[in-house]
Amino acid sequence: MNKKMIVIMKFNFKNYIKSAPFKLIAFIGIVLILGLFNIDKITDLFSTEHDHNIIIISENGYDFLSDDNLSNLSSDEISYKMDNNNNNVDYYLQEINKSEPDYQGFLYLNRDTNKVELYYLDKIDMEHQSSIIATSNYINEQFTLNNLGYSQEEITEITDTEILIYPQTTHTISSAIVSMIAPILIFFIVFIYVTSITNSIFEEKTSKISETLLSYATGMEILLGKILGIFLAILLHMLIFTVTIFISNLIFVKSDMLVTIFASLDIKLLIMVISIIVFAYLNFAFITAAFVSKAEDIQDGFSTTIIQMLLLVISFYISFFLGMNFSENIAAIISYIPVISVFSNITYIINVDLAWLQIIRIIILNSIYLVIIAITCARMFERRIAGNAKKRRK
Amino acid sequence: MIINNLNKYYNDFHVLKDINIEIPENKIVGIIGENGAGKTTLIKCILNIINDYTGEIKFENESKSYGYIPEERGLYAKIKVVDQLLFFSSLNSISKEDALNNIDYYLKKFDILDYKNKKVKVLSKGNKQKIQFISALVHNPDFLVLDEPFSGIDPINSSIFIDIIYDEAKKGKTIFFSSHNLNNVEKLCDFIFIIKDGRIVNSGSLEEIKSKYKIKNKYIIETNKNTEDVFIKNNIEFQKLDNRKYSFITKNSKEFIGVMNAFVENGQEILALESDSIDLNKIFIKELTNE
Repeated sequence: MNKKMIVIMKFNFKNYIKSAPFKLIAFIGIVLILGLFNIDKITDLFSTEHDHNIIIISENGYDFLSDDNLSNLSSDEISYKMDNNNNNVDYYLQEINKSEPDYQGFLYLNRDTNKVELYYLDKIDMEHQSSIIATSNYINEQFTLNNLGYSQEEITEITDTEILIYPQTTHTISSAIVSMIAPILIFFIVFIYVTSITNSIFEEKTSKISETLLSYATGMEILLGKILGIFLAILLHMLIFTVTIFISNLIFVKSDMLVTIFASLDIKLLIMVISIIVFAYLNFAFITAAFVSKAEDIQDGFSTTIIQMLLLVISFYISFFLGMNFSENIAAIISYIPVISVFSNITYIINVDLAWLQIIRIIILNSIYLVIIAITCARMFERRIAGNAKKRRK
Repeated sequence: MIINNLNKYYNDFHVLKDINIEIPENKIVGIIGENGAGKTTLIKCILNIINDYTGEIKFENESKSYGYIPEERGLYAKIKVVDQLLFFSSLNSISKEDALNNIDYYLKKFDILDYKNKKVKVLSKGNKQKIQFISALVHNPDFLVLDEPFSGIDPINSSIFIDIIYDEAKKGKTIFFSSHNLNNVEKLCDFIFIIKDGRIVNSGSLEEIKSKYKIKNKYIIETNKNTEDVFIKNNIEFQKLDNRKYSFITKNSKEFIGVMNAFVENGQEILALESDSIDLNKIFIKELTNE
């Protein structure tokens, strides 16, 4: 990289990070990430039902219903207490159906049927319902075994067994995550950042700044400096978002989603996705620059961006239809088409466990396409940015 | 700088035709011509903004740095003046410290130091032109190329621009500019090119160009009374310019002396006598309209 290209790169980078769009994207990204990884905490804040009180009705006392044990079974949101009033079930049903009941459910240990009956209000959220049911099952186990004559020590030995759990990461999990995030990320990058390149070139061309620039630097230096400057801004955004994720994980609740993502991350997938994103940005950046540099005034704005928008939409729809009716052969063929294969290659790698050789083939092929596109578009840009007409026909 | 056989086409339109010129170093050189003659295209070819031309543009010293003011001013509207000037200067290998010193110097000289940290969009048109001018000067270039630098400038600022051009020329810089303001061209230039329909039709120093148009033995006389009788009696071709002011042409110095003697004999007092001069305006019109 020569000195002038670095100067132009720094200039475009500094101006973009000072701009309102950069700050807005950073802000929205941070808010979304914090929201996404702390969704449980946030929904709890808005939840109207914070505490659930479940009372336990039993004619007899049992060790497993001691205050200590019930205290262990309780949590911040659900508390279990004994009710020693020994009223009948109808009474308690009436109580929980009041407009503001003191308790939201009750467990009736029926000595006659030797069953535990759980009555609860269905407006309790699903997560807490699951917890209450699990606790009720535990009490049911204890109650049943007690009634069968087992001592508490024997009951403890029978029921206190733990399953050893070894979660296995599968391609399915990481594929699902990638299939959701990667296309959104590519769209985001092309629409936001390539659009900023469009605006920058448009401003320089229509305001005639390009003429001054061209007297000091070549068209190639201007173009590469601009594309690399915005690429640095993308990296800065990614850094901000990555730091946000880690701060969120450290300070707030440890995110299960983050653990899942990292545990399920496949190195092949990661390399493919990163390279596809970089190729997508660079391809669209060069193509955009070549066409926008033709604009002479504001009326040309739309017409000069239509081709790259069409390419983006076509490539998205091809991958969409490929995803609906996946065919490995068709995906392999599409992977040979430059630019259009951006989204389809993601669909390809999600659905097929590609060998390293195939991944390297795709990366090398896209690199070659990128070089050809870059050279062609850079030449078009150099000619058009100066307002040169086509070369004279001999 | 030497330009040999420069030809440039826009599609099939032949814009520059066989341009052969030499721009001497350390001089102020002007190029004048009517609209569409090819001045801006020539300037763009010199600066390699346009590079699909045929012919040769050679610089004696290839490492020369340029300062350029385009015909249509172009500045980033939302970027501060100082940042913009630093950017343009940094494209020309000058240290940040030197650039900042130069920026302050020129902003002060143009009396717009207050706008140093303002965004360009808040500046008036005249002040934007000053910033554009400074952007061409801030990196201390060897070769200044100015396309219509006086366009849209009021007389006071025009005078500031002229002073600056003089100052830069005194520093040994080569200055090449195009202008429709022929008074300024006449005031500033050591050397002038006249371009018409893509061709250089005349060139030289101002005196050289004027001397080609100067009509020999043509005089302007002002006397204390009407002189037509003297001219008619002596068979002298004349034209009345004003009351008691005439221009006349003599064939030779003998005839001239005869006319002078005739005035004296006629009792006429000669209040003023000068040989007829021609200004650049007239030369421009003559050259470009084939009068």
